[in-house]
Amino acid sequence: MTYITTTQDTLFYTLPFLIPVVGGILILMLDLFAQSDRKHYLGYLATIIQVIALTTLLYTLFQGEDLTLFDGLIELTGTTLIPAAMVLLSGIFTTLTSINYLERHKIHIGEFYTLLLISITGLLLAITAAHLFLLFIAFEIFSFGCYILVGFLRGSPLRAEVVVKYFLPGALFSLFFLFSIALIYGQSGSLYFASVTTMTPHRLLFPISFILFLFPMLFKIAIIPLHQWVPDIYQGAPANVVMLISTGIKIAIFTVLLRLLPPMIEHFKNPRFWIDILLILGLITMILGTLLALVQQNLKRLMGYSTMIHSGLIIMGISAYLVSPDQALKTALFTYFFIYLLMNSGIFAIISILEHNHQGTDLKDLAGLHQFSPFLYGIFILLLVAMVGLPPTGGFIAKLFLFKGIYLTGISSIGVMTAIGLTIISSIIYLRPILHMHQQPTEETTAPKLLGGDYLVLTVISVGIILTGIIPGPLLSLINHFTGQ
Amino acid sequence: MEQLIPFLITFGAALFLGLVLLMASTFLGPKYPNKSKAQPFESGWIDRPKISGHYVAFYLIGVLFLTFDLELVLLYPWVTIFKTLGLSGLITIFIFLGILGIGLVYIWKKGVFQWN
Repeated sequence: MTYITTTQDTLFYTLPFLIPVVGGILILMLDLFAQSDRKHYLGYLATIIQVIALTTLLYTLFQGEDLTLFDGLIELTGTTLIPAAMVLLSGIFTTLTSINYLERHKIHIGEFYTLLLISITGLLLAITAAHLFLLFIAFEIFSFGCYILVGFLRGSPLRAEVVVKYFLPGALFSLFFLFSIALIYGQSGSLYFASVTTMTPHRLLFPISFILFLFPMLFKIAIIPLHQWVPDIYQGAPANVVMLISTGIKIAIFTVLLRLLPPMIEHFKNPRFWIDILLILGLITMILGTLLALVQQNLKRLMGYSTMIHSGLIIMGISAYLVSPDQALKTALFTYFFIYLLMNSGIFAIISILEHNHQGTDLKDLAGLHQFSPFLYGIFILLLVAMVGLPPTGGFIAKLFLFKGIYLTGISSIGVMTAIGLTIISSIIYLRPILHMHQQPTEETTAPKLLGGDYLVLTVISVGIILTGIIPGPLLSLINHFTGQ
Repeated sequence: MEQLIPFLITFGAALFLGLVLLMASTFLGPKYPNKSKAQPFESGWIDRPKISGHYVAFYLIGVLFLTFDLELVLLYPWVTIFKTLGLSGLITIFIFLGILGIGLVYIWKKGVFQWN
């Protein structure tokens, strides 16, 4: 671990965080003076800003050195930089698809991109933080951005419901998080992640602080019993904001859990008990997500429950990682994050193209998609096949390695078998949209308008999914190389 | 800990008694619901929705005041250690003031200062 002390170096290595913030403020200023029919240029500017930030981040990653900034507040290692790059990628997908979405909904508000960029910065900080209070601040930054973004559809009847259902529990669980930090500080005397490892836990206070810490995290990734917001927010929020909520935020929280749970769980006298609780929560989330997704009539609600299945599986992977911190399992988890990011972003990109004022996202609205838009139809089918986890797509590779990793740790063979069984059942969920696509449309439907950004995102995602499915070696060895200790 | 036991017993007894009495009135009491009973009690007046609360500018000015007041709260301690901080302190505070200035331009253009 190299400590960065000089101002120039600190500035250089903080560029991935600085560029989105400064870019966001720049967009805020440009928005004031831009004509309302030229607001889409701000979207392209936001994309360029994120691409530059991603480039500087990848430069730091490929230097292959573990860095510490600001006296240990921020850690730039492979384990933090790889999910940070994924979050930026998620941000780029979200920005590119929102240009078309905002144009179609006549929302000429440049602040959308500012909020998006600032949320992305919060996510990057949350991933790379090595200090509990910085983690809390970052958590608040991206949460605030998203509270506003989910209610961006003006005049939508679902808007108030969405904002309240996301904001109130989110704010409450932020308080839980803060209280948990206070309790941990009482036991360790410091807020650095390193002191969580070395502290002497209190018999009663430590379990309380652990449970309180889990609440906000499990809320954001929608693990039972904190999943009730999922279908309503997924249905009511703009589809590309949901894209960010379901990919970027989840990847960030999973990374935080991967970094903080192993040192925390060691302090328990009986760690296996707590790991089993996490495992069972993950399993129940998978079961309930599968069962509820089977009966949904709205594509966005269906995808909401589908992301719960993925979250449950990843939580199972994380609890297996807590039993035996195995490098192969860690690689499998990060590979799963990446491929999940591609699949989910792709599906929500398509939904955002089809959606108009909350219309067009019911399953029956998909009827005749192969006639009026063969491009969307082909990519949609590819993505759904990847979601099921069939070869030759990346979905198969992700599931294969994760199941193998979980099984080899020997955490619970019954749990793994149940999860595999649920994956087979979940193929019905993803086949239902395909079934609806082939029905005759009841009314005349027009082809949705696609902009360059949408074509770019969908092409990149489908190429990525096929490539990771056919030649997964480079991706796996890259992640394995950088996340290794 | 032992000193707390009498207190906890008293507390528990009070809680238990309170809950039991509340439950008893819920389960045993007669219920004759009607429309006037379901309305919120407003000193004998019939409840009607308010047309408007405060003027919107009131809240905006309140938030703005808070922002620029807190700016001063930061500037005062900065002034006292200005010489120790040197040039880097000066640059930092100008970045801070710059961001606030951008905020001011933003609200100005958004028409917060037009009170018609």
